[in-house]
Amino acid sequence: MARNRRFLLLVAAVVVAALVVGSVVAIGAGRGDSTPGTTTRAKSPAAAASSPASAVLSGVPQDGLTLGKPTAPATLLEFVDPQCPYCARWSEATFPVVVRRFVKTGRLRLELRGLHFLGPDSETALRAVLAAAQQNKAWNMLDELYARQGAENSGWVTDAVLEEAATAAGVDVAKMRAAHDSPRVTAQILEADAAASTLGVPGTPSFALARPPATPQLLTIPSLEPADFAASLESDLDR
Amino acid sequence: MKLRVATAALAIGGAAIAGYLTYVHYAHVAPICTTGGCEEVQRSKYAELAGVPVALLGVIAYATLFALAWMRGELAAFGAAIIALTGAAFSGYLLWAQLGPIGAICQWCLANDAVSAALAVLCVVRLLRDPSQEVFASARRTIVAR
Repeated sequence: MARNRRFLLLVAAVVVAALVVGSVVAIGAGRGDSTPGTTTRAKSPAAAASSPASAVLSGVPQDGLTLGKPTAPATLLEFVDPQCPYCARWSEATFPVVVRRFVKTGRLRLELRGLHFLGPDSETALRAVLAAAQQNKAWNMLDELYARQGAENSGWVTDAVLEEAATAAGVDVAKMRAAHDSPRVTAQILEADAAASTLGVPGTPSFALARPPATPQLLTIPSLEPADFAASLESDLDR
Repeated sequence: MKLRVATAALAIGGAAIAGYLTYVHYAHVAPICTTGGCEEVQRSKYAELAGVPVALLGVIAYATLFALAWMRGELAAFGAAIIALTGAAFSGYLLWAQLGPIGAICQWCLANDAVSAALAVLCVVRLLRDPSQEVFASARRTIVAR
């Protein structure tokens, strides 16, 4: 009798636990995927520190402007302008999905191509990103600048903003400053401009898929939203 | 008695893990990590429940299990079983989230999963055991002491 009673208590405990966890899971599913991007980009350093794009970079190899394993069979060239709000939006919402699904799995690596067509603040910020690339922190630096993005050409790319972003990105500020106006950085800017011109890049962000020995092909992306972008990229990689 | 001591010891271990993750959450620092994905997991939507860090809920659950381990009777055993089974089921859900949507593994979460699974087993065994065994054992010790 007592044994039956204890067994019933166990069944009750299992039911209560299932109800509690079931409710939590249902609430979680109802919230939808809050991965990056569904909220406004934060500007404070503390909020920037919790950037999902920065978080996803942890453990992913970086070499100069590339992100991902060198053995990846394809490279996605990303054309960005550090002042471009759509680039920031893509970085926040879609970039983590791409890294998780394609880069971390070794199917793809990303390569940054920085443009500066929006104005003087673009070039200042881009030079900082390219200088950070010499420390293999280009992607972290770019994300930190996106997090602090101001109105176009409002002069938001100040020394203080660059220093703050570099510190948050784990970049050596002194080395970054020394490389900011270096010939190497200038050469990379010119190379990106030439590549954009050759491919007919219409704006930012734009993407091209490189699978050597074939020449890179500009991708037609239907949407920058994570699910659509990933599906489109999947299709391009399968071709 | 051994069951309850083991439960208390595991609860302390679980509280230590959950306490560390709670500290990491509020201090905005990266956790010590050998699996490479701890920070990503900690910053995912699964790390919070209605704005409350799940690690903090873990601390509360482990503290309650620790307290219930020292209480006798069926009600305490029943309460401990509910909490432990809920914790184990929730840990399973979080493990699924790590392997699936998040795509990153956190070593601290795996350690927590192991602790909560062990606690669930101990608490279920305690509930299914005849509570009078504890009373008899206690009485036997009293007689031996005399």
